Amino acid sequence: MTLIARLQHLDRRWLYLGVLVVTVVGSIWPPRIVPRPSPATRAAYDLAQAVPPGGGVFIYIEYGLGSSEELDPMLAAVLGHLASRGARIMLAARSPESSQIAERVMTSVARRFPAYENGYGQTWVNLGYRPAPDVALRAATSGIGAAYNQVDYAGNTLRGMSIVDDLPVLDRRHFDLAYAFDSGDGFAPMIYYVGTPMRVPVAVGAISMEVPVLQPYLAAGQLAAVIGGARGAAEYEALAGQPEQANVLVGASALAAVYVLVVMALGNAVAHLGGGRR
Amino acid sequence: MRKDLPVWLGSLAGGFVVATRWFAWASATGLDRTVDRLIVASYAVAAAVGFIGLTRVHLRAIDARRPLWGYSIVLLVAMYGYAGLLFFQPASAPVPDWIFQNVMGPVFATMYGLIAFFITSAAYRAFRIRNAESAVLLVAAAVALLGNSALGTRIWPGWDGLVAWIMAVPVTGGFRAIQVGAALGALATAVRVLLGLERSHLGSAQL
Amino acid sequence: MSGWPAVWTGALLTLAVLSYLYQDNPAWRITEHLYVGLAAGYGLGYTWQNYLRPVLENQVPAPGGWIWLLPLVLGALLYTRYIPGWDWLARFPLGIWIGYGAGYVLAYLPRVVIGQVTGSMVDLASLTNIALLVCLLGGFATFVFTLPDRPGALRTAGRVGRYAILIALGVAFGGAVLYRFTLLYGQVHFLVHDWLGFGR
Repeated sequence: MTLIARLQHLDRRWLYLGVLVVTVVGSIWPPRIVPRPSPATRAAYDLAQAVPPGGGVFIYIEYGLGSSEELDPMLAAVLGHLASRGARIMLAARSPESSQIAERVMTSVARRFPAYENGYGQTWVNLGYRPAPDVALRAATSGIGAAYNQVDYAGNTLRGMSIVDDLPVLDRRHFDLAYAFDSGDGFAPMIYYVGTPMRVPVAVGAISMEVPVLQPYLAAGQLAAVIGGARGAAEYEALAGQPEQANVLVGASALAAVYVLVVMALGNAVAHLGGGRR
Repeated sequence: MRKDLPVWLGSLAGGFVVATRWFAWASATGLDRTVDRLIVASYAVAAAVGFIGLTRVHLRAIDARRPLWGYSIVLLVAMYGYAGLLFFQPASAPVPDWIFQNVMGPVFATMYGLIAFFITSAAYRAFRIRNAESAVLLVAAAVALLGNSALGTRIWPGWDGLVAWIMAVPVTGGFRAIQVGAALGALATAVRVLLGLERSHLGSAQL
Repeated sequence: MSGWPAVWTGALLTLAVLSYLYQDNPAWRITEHLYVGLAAGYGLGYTWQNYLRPVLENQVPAPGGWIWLLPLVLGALLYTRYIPGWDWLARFPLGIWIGYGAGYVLAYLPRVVIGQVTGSMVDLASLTNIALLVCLLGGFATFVFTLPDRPGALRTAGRVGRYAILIALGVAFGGAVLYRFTLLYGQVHFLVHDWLGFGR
């Protein structure tokens, strides 16, 4: 069998092995690539910089465990930046997984800031998940406590929490910024119920696959900023001086990009040289 | 009547939402906030539908000794076990949280990551440049791959600018056309639902 | 290698999922069914613990709390789909939910769509904006199927729009590749560093 014929009938498990090799190499020797901040990431940074100490930020988390690897570093960088600004952070979730992820990430960020480590209910709160979460989000634009049944993610009462007393309604008067961290369409309810009618600036932290879908909203001003994928997270970490977690992902993804491009080129070369195998 | 009444109740519910949004007097009563909360409660009670569906399917598989029926036992034990645990303890308690972080976490993440392998296999076998359109698709993918991984600027300093232009022009134009079209379709369907013309969601005579 | 039970559990489960790449096997099957079972159990258990139990314990017994029984009964009607002869009752919650959702679409979507349309009314002094408008109108022209014989201009515009959409989808595909690799990388990193102990 000629080489071309062998390549035409290549067992896909060799390609899988290549993927494993690329990711293992990327794990042991990650190339260090520091990306230049894009205008969209810089806009997200500027928005957070504009939040005054004590200003309200509402963060709606939609992603689950499957997307944690790409979005956890991004969420941690944004939360760390907001905490360094002294913002008051209200977390809510679009799925049960998201509420636990929010708790995990915020708790680890809070360890770096005493006001947040000991300030649950004053500097931050995790409202958790409610069934029909988008309906609950809309209800929050009229009253957050009632929308979330006056309990937080762990069942503690919201009554008496100063953050909920001071930021009772999800609107422009009380909140300086709203964020959606999502891996699907979690940005949509934020635009529909918070950004457009309530005029709260909305930024999105999205997986790299979703960034193109967000461009029309960004161009129309319905989104104020987009942080996209591992690269966006690395850019934000560098801008905000947050601990580097996503930077390693950028290096690893560079290896992956080269590998996939080589595979695509090889596949096309083999197909054309071999007379167009079906 | 069995099909008409749910349709008219749905129209009433939808009309109520529209009224509270478009008319200040309707939202001033605060009734919209109360109804929102009640709708959320009704969704919560229905959370077990998938649970029951899975139970029926896998119990039938076990009962009929269908191939791989043993794995159905694994599924049912995991499902009822974890749900039972969460009935008595909050998700943040040590045992449920341990399962969440150390069992669900790795499994979910690896399941999602498996697709990287399949994408690579598809890139080798299926993504062929056969005509101008497929060439455009692949070139755009290559530009995005190198741009998103920050390698592009190492090839050519203007790479980020190229990606930014692509995002601002064809991507925005193309996706906006799709999204506006989809939104108009959604609006038309919503009007049909509120007018009672769309009944497919209620099934046929037998559910 | 690490001896922590958590790390070993995660590592073995990760390897079980990855084993599917070689061929279907019992470890993969068990993990696959574990995945579905845990996800279903988690959703229901969480909803009970974090929402239904507080409502039943706090809201229902409170003064005026009887009103909470109405949505609970409405939601419960969905389960009549499993009772022959009573399954028509399941249409009530479905009808109300779909109608409510349709109301949301009509109440909130128009303003967003109008924002997209007004956002397209760009100053045509720049080539970039002209190109954007061409791509947008071409994209709309691509989806016009109602005319049996499309005029030449519409066909040309549709061709331009198709290329714009292909570029958009190509960019999305590039993002999808990196997204999936990033997820895989996380688990491989866990295996290499936390389980096997490289780089510690």
